[in-house]
Amino acid sequence: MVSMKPSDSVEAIAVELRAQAVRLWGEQRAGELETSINQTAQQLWDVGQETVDRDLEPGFYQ
Amino acid sequence: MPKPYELTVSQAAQQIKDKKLSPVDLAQSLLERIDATDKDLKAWVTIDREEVLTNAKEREEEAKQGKTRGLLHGVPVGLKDIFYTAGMKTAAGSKVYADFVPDFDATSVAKIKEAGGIILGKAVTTEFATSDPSPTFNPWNFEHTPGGSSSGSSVAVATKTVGAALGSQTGGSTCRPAAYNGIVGLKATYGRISRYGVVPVSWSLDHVGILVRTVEDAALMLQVMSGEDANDPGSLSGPVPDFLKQMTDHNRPPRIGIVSEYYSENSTPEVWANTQETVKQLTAAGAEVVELDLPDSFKSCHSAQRIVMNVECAAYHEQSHATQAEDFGPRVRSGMEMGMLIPATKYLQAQRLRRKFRQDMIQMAGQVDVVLTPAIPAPAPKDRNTTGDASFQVPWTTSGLPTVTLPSGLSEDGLPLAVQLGALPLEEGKLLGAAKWCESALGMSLSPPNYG
Repeated sequence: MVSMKPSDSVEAIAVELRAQAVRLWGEQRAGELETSINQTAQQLWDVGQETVDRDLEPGFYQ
Repeated sequence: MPKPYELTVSQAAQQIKDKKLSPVDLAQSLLERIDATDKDLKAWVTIDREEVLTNAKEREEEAKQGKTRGLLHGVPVGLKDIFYTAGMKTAAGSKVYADFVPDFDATSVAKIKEAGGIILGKAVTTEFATSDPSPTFNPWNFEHTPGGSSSGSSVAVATKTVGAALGSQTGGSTCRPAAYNGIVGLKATYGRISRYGVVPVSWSLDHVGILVRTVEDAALMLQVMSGEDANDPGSLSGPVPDFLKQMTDHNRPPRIGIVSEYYSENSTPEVWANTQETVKQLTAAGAEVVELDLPDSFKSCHSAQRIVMNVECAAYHEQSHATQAEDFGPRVRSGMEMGMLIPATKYLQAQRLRRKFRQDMIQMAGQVDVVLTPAIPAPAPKDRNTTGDASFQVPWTTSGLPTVTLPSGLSEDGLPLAVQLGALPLEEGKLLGAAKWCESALGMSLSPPNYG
């Protein structure tokens, strides 16, 4: 299970994602996913920096 | 006198209604055009000629008797190969679905048939409508990408092998290839057109898209396909407006909001100059132009979109991935694997940010009739290993607001440039009216030199 805190850096998030990828698909596949993992870490960091109103529910179907 | 294949959808439908054009002649003309072009372009994947001509003969007999089924009577339409077609293969550009033959039509396909339309065939899609490039060629320059994921649909319309084709948009998959190929693209409000029977990328982001050569045709196709569908949980309820009438009513100089922030910084100088020139022409023709500021929530909308898309894509393909991961293309596979790594809390955070972003976009778009930005940061890249950059479409897809892409000129290299207009949810009538006015004011109709 990937564990992330809002204070985590992009690099720390990438480490978590990489570790989970290794657990799921092995070292080789995790290595092939390196670029995607780094992009995803950045995306997760981006949304982690945003604060939303406590009462705001997800939209799903717009 | 134009050849039948050169007619727009509206022109062909009117001529059939007036008994000046035979549906069989129109179908034959398009099939011959496909024969003449598709060995090179690779825009089409499945065509059942016998079925097309049988349907055309039926529509012709009905027309002779003065009976027309609806707005598309006797007019062929193309479908991206992710739309379910009863009895016809729907492979979604994938080995995983290579032999899949649905036993029902997508709701949008059923509505086209109810309106008298004829399914001409299935157009090439990138694999599962994501970003692994398709074999289709850009008719403006074979060395450049045609865009994606609705690559076949866009190229088919641009090269006049069909007047209208359906696409889809999860990020920029309708309006980006429309821009790269010099045609008109419409992505309506989320839920306006049913997604039922369309192979999904991401349920909460997917939109059915319309690819045509004129704004009027976009309105006609939207009229035919809109409406509530109990099979689509995201479908909008309520009556369908008369979009063609609304388009005519709103065909007047609009109040246009320009967004320079982000779009100027991320466009090539050539694209930004073209956008400014377009605005100048529209202002000279009578439009009122004001500058708008993007909301703060804009800065995370691209990341939120990617997180939502990857997680939902992973959920849809989870079982296939478990048994045949090697059969997926590299980009769709890595995207779904990223989705499998993303924690549920982050997915929900992304969905909450989307909702906030939508609220903010509504506030911004509500200040004007339409918002105008460049449709693409640069012309179609000289790289067939990419489908291009969807970043200018993503905000509209993520927020579910309707947009139209219009051709706005040619680059120094002779490739199409385009602008996109966006509007408030459910205001497609006003959007199409403004787009039609802009289309006339710009007088821009593009055709690839070797496929005019």
